[in-house]
Amino acid sequence: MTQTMTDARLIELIEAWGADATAYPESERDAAKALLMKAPERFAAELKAARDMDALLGGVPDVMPSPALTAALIGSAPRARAQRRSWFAAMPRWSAVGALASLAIGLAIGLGTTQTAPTNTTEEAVDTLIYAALGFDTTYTQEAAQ
Amino acid sequence: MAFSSDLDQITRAAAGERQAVSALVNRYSPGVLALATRMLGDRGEAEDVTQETFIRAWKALPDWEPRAKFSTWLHRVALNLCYDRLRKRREATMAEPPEQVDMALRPDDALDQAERVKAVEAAIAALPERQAAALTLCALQDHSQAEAADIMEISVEALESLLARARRALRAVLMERSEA
Repeated sequence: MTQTMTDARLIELIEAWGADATAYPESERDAAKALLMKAPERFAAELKAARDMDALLGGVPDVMPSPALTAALIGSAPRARAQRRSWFAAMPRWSAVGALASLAIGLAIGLGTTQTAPTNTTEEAVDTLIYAALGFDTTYTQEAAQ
Repeated sequence: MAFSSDLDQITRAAAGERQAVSALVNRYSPGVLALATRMLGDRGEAEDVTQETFIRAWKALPDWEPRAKFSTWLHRVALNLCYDRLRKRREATMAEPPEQVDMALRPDDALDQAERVKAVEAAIAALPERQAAALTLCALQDHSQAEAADIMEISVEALESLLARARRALRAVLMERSEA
């Protein structure tokens, strides 16, 4: 779309945005460029003043944060909260402990209730002990052995 | 696109992920610090403003809604903090007017580049605050016209007017006296 560009409006653009037409508002850029190409001498003084100012502003260096400031900014951010272990997450560890405890209690009860009948061999005695620890009735086993 | 990657980083930074926090700081702290430095003309105060801006950002992140670009929001916070400081500074110096500093560039070659830069920086910081903001955002930083206007919460037309006045004022201070 071709826009009408007047001398007065072009001077306003130069005074606000500088000598580089690419900085002008997009809707007026093409028309401004066309007028500048058509009659550059009419805007020479404004362009010269704008170029001088652009050069001064272009000489202003960037400002970069120091490493200390960067570290302080990063350090000021909230840290991730330590994740609480859920009951399910905690369960496997405790279940292992529980299983061992159950086994120990079972062995203790079993040993406490083992019949004192004599056994023929050490092997049978051990078997009887284990069965008893696991809660089986060892009377039948002993009778069968006799 | 910066916008979508911002959203991703904001979400991760809000959860406390250090890599995302670092990315946001590295991307935006130079612009915020530069804006504050040009507005206040004082590096120490500018660093304070930058820290305050990011502290506010961290507080806002958990409830962040992408109605505006994060960059725009962050610069707007910084700009408002600068306005607050300039207002307090004005109130504090009401009874005691500041010493007038001659910022005119001299036509001879005695003025080296460092002095020239200092003169320009001082002249920008001495501009009326909205003119200084417009000039910094548009002429010294890479903000688009729409984004600069959005940061300042004004129209592009108003931004253009501020820019024209800022450049005229700078010219008067820096160049015309040297031409006389």
